[in-house]
Amino acid sequence: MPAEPIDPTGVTWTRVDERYITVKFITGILGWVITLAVVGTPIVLDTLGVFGGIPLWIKIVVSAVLLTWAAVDLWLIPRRIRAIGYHERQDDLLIRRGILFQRVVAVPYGRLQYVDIEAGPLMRRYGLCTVQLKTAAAATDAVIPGASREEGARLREELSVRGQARLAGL
Amino acid sequence: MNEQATEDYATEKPKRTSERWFDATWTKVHPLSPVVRGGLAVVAIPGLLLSYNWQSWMDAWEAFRSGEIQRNVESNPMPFLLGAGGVLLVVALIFAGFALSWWFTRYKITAEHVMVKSGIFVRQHRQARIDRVQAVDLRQPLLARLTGLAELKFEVAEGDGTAATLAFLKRSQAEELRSEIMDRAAGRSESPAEVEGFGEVPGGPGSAYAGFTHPGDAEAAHRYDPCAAHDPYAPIHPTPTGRAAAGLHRAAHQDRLIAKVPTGRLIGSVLSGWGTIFVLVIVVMAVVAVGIGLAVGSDGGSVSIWAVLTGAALPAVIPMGIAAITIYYQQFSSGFGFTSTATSSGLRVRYGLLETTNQTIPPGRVQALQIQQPVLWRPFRWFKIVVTVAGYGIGEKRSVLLPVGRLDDVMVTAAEMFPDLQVENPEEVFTAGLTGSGTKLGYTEVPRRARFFDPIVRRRRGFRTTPTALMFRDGRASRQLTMVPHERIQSLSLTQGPLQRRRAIADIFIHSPAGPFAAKLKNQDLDAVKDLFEYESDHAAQARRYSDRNQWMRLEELREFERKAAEALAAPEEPSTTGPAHPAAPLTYQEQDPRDR
Repeated sequence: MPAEPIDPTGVTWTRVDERYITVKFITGILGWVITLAVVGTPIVLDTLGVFGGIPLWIKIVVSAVLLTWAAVDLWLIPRRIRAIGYHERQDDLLIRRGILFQRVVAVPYGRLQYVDIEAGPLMRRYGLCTVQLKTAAAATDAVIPGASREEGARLREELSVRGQARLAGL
Repeated sequence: MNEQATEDYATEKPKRTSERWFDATWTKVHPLSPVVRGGLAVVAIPGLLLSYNWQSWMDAWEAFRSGEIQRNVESNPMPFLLGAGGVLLVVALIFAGFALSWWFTRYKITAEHVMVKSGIFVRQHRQARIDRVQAVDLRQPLLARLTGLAELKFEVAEGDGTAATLAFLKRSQAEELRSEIMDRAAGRSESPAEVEGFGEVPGGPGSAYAGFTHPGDAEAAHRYDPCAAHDPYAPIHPTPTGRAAAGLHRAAHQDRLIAKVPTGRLIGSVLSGWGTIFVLVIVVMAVVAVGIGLAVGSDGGSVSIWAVLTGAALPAVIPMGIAAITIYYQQFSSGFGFTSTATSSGLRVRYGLLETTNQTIPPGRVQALQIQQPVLWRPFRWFKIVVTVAGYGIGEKRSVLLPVGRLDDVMVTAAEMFPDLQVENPEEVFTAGLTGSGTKLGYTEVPRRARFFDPIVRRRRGFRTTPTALMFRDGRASRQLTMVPHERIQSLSLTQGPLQRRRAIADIFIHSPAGPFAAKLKNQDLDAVKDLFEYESDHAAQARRYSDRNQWMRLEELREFERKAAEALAAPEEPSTTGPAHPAAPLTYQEQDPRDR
């Protein structure tokens, strides 16, 4: 992925694990199946004649919109995940995300209060975890989703050490 | 069940059982505390009982006067005895509850912690690390004012809630305790020897400060001066017995008035504040509603103006009016008698109509500062200052440093609580940030190519860096100036949407602990904002090492600060001279900092 305009110059992003794409596909498909089931039930019932009254054009428009949205959402998953990146610099950690709406955050190591590592059942199955950096500011919102477990452990160690070396109060 | 907390302290005194979880070293609060804490309920519940059954009480009183009750008692005393016994029992139970609650509330101040234990069945143990104390509030609700008591709140950095509350103490005692805790939090109760050593530092920190220019010209002599804070009198009496004397001495020596809000100005500011804008909007909406009602009604030809007014407008206007009065009252009561004083432990702010609050905010604890001017204040040239202090949270009330003030009040307060801007013409830069527009004095604006995004605020929306702080100005009708010291920035982010990308602009966010405002600036030139991002992330990482100001008055901290300031002044290229669009290469503190070696 080429450097985007807001990326700091001279930074090569470390991408998150490719297996995270699979995880996202699974959760994404699951989510869409549930949504489509909920929205689709009245449409199917109506078509079967259990109860009537929904105009045909509403049924067509609603299903078309939802199906397109689902398709685009799923199609974008790999690109979204490849747009996530992080980079350890001397004094801070950069994290980027987003294709259309992009965000780059810089978290100085000295500001880290703690590093959280989190993994649900699905993430554990694929050997992944989510690394979360906490500072005194809630707005920091620095998350690296889908790092491999080894990378997560390494990051936590590394960040803790660097944080300690530069740590001070608020 | 707080057995865990209990066990931690059981180790201190081995003979203590889990039944007795405090000993003689724990102090009791004032005996009236439960009553005062009960507050209005103590008065209101009997009042409610009386008024609710008003008719029955009146009947009873009539019966008493006519002698009917006396006759009944003589003939059959049993139900009356039971009733009286029941009332007495309830009173006794309430009293016992208060007494127990008082007995089980204890506090203890150690060298490192303030600890408070409370609770009869569910026991609570709270403690706050003194060197992490961010600010101390001394609060007096109405009942406490009548009884001469006060509540102390110690705000710490961790979490959003108040860490430790001492309720209630005698006012004088609370004041003593506050100054003692603030002294310790500032690291000022060090041994006198160290303080003397401090005096021998060649050209002590005062000289570094004196080198700076200052926004409030007339007040230059009154500026916050760490030398004065290190008054040689203060640390000579650190013992509990001499504490009161030392406190008085300090008070006589250093307290000076910073700003005061006259009641007239406060009323004016409340009437021309957001509440009035809200009222105006409501009135306009009501008028429009009535107009529509009339227009619709006139078709039928039978609806009168009054029917529309009472039918449609009034039911909506009454709750709105109540809301507006509430807003007015809250603003008025929280700004009433507002006085800020500079003391050795920070800015002391006092306000309140019925309930008074006395806050002490050390300058080193201010994470960010914002100066606001609602649109209707502009003819009066009034401003308001709010700050972010970790632990105060997002609530606005306690974060106000100045509810309404003129430009000179604002400058004096900002100078007291905010690092010096360290530019040649701080006053002009400051004023330009408040009211100016365009690219003069090193401020940026939204580029012309992006005027579509910000047609109105384009020329106001911009930033400027100084060697010590980052300044964001924004707002055309209602103005804001947000200032964040470089070393207080927690983290920062850049964001860009698809349309912004086409115009090569981006938004920048500065992240601070939770506070009443957020420092963000939209639609800035991409290159300028990328440079700023680099500059700030470098600066935040490095300045950080200089400002572990947990104990911000300690000798080494001051030395560190002095050297940093000297370097900043000596640095050949400053962002203020080259223009903020191209911040200078990060100053090379790193090589000279012994902590890095």
